[in-house]
Amino acid sequence: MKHRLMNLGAYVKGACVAGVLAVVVGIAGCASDEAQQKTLNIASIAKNTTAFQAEILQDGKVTPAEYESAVLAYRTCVQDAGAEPGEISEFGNNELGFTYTITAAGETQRKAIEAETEQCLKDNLEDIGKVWSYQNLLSPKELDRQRPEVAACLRSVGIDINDSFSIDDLRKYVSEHEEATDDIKPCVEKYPGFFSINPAEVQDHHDESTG
Amino acid sequence: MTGTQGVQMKNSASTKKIVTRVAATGSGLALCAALVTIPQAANANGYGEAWSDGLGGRTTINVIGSSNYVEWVDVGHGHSAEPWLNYCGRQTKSWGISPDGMNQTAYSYWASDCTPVSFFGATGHYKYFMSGSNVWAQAYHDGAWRSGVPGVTIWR
Repeated sequence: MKHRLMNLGAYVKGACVAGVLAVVVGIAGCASDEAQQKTLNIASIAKNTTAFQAEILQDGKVTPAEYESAVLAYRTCVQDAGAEPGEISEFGNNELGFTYTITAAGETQRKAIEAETEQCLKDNLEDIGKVWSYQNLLSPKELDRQRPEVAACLRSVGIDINDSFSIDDLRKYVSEHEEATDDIKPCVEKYPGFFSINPAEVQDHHDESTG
Repeated sequence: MTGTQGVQMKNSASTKKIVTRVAATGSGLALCAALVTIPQAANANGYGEAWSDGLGGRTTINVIGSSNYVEWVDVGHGHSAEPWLNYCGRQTKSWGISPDGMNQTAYSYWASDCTPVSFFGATGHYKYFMSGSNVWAQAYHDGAWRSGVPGVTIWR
């Protein structure tokens, strides 16, 4: 498994590089890459999570071994709750996971096991996974290296975009062409790292209570 | 808040035609008018959708199988009013009743990262379901299972 532990110092340098590149590739691209550099408040996550996850997060990072131990703990918990978990495999942007099924004698029992397994996630992996995905964000350099390939993929599904496109360009395009949200899915699946958004940067969560 | 619509279901792996009905329901006391489910035209594999959370949120179910044997269920979730919207921490599940009356739920992978566009999660069953019963689906992101539970009625 490839690991990309985030080095904030490198990101600061990357910001300077991105600033220079902005002259070439456009201001929007620079803004997008800089957005990837926002820092996730891991101390705050550690303060508000379960004891198991807090212990892992106490040093401000998640090692590959710690991440794997959290996935294993989640799987064991799901199994202990009475579900049948599948094998652990790699998917998405360097993540590990498994699917699982629940078989129950009736609806009440099914819902009880569901609730227990869903609690397993919150107890063992949810916050560790958030930090892990943050650590696995591509650096500005990695994004720039991948950008032409992603652009080619996007053009192959009918999206008119050039090699130096920024995420903001794509966001604007998708917002103006609703059908593009489905069209770009093959590219999102092929380049999950490129489309993995910094959780520290996410500000547009919608109102969950909105009807 | 339920609705049904008769649809013709044709399995791509065989020419055997089976009939299913699409049912859709919302759940939770917080449901408002915008969550009224609208049965959609079904595709060959048994499809349904239900309005979900705000900003045009919508959860879809696509049952893949033959007759009353369900191989897997693709569950999708997105927001038509905001095509580019970050979804962090994602999972889907689907559930139904087998011929012997047992309940079964299948979960997709848990994805920890954030993605900017609508997402899908495959839930594998590989089981027979009770003819005439519904298979339901739900999507999770950003800390909550979303209202709007689409369903497809399985027929032998």
